[in-house]
Amino acid sequence: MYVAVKGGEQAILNSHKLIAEERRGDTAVPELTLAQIKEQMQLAVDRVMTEGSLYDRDLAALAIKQAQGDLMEAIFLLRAYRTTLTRFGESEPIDTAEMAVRRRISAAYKDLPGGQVLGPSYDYTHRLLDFALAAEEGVGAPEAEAAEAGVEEHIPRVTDILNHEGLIEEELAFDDGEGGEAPVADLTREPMSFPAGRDLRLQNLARGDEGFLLALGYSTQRGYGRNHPFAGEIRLGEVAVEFVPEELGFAIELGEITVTECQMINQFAGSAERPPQFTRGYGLSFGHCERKTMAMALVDRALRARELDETVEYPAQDEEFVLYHSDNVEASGFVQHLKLPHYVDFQSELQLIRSLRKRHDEDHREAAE
Amino acid sequence: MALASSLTAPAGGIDAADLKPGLADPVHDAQHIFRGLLTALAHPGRAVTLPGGIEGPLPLDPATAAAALTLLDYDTPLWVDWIADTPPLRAYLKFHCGCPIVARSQDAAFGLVSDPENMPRLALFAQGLDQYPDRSATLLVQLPDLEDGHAVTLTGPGIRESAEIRPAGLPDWFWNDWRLNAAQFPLGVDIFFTCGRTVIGLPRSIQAEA
Repeated sequence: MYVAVKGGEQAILNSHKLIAEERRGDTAVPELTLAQIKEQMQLAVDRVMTEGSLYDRDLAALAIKQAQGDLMEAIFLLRAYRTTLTRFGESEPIDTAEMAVRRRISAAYKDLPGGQVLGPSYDYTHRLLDFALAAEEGVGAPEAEAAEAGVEEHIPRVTDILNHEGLIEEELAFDDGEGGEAPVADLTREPMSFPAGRDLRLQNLARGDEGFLLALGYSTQRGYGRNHPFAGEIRLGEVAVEFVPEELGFAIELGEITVTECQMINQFAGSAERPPQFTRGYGLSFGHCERKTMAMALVDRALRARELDETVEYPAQDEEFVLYHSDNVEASGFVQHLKLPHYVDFQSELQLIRSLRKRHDEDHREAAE
Repeated sequence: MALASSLTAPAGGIDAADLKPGLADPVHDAQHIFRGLLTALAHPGRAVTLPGGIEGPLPLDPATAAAALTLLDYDTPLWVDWIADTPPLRAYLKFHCGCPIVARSQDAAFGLVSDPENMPRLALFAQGLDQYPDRSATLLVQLPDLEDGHAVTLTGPGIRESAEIRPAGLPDWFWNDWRLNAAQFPLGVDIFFTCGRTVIGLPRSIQAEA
């Protein structure tokens, strides 16, 4: 991250005043409130929480307002804030099988236990600008009708259904070599190291830039690391977050969070050690970030090439390439640091070019003579 | 923070009323103390006085307690010597720092030594790795006196020519171990000597002549 700038102090202060003025815009227009952002820009809030790695809708809304809607800047703000928070424990893993589902679809099975629940989705909208939303009086209080038969309480995951038949690889916790579960890596505590375990890769992808992962996921579909994906299941809803205080020894519920989960099912021809079976690609986000979780699941599967004895030939399969370039806070910092003064650097380049040109001219003159 | 304190009842059968208070103003006090600890490391051998008003459980001196409250948290496994390892101290660290206490010195990011004469050899703490020299232990070594012991001359980064310290209560092998510790730079442990409200920093980059 490159944030420090020296010199030009007055100019910098003035620039801060200018962004405050620009952020406010025309004062004849009422100022945006955080509640408005939180309630009416939910998908922006969700993206900022996911890539900012902090589940707090109010702070994400504040970051969006402060960044004038520049989501990457908002993500940076939230990440910076996150580093100041005290960590006092680790929650239990969330159980998405126990999710209070609001949307759940499978592209692999038409009829399945729990059914298809379309829920809120832009998928079948016509992508025509809706000028009713532009009306001065607003849209009022639109309300969707509730289905007579509500959503079932416990909806099994599609991968668990396939697992009963043994047709898909099992999802196993990492072994610590002593019969227990290995601790989960955390790249906010220890730097990334390679080869990266799937835990570290998934954490990196969960924080990774949606656009970058979308492009990489797309590249695998277009043939740069093809792995025949099916959207086995996408589910959106609320899950409980539980924590076990050491003194109590049992889990207590801290609250609920909204998450989106995508399980991709991929073909796998089998290897010397494994029979032909389906393999998994996994995506998870805070809030409703469906595109992101799908892209994440595609890239997760592509990055498993080494583990599944597939040839690593394409960018999406190259873990160093993907994991080192997925973070938009780092990427944006390194790209944008080019704006900072490089005067001395540039002077030395100038001198070098001048001396090279001089020699070049001399060589040519000699050759001409 | 509010959640942390409401969830974390003191462990080990210690009544909350017996628990010594932590920092009165956690953010600013910790910043103050951290600044003091940085100064001590930046100027090895210089006696730095840490803010007063901090009272830890026995056998911790105020400076040791201040350093512990500032440096230790959930992410820093701590090794504690047998004299300091009491239920009140465990409850204090658990409540105010939330740091895990480990049994093996090698697994600790910090070591708390209150009985220096019987402290483990320096090589028994994490020394860091060539790729990650930062994965080494920092030791808080509480001494009976910082002015009454044998003179030791320090040289190295942060010291203009040389500095003299007189820490009392260290074991005989200590300065020989320190020579080995300094020789493996950039690996090795860093040490804070504490006594009363005073701290002296001894980073791994420092050569000592006892």
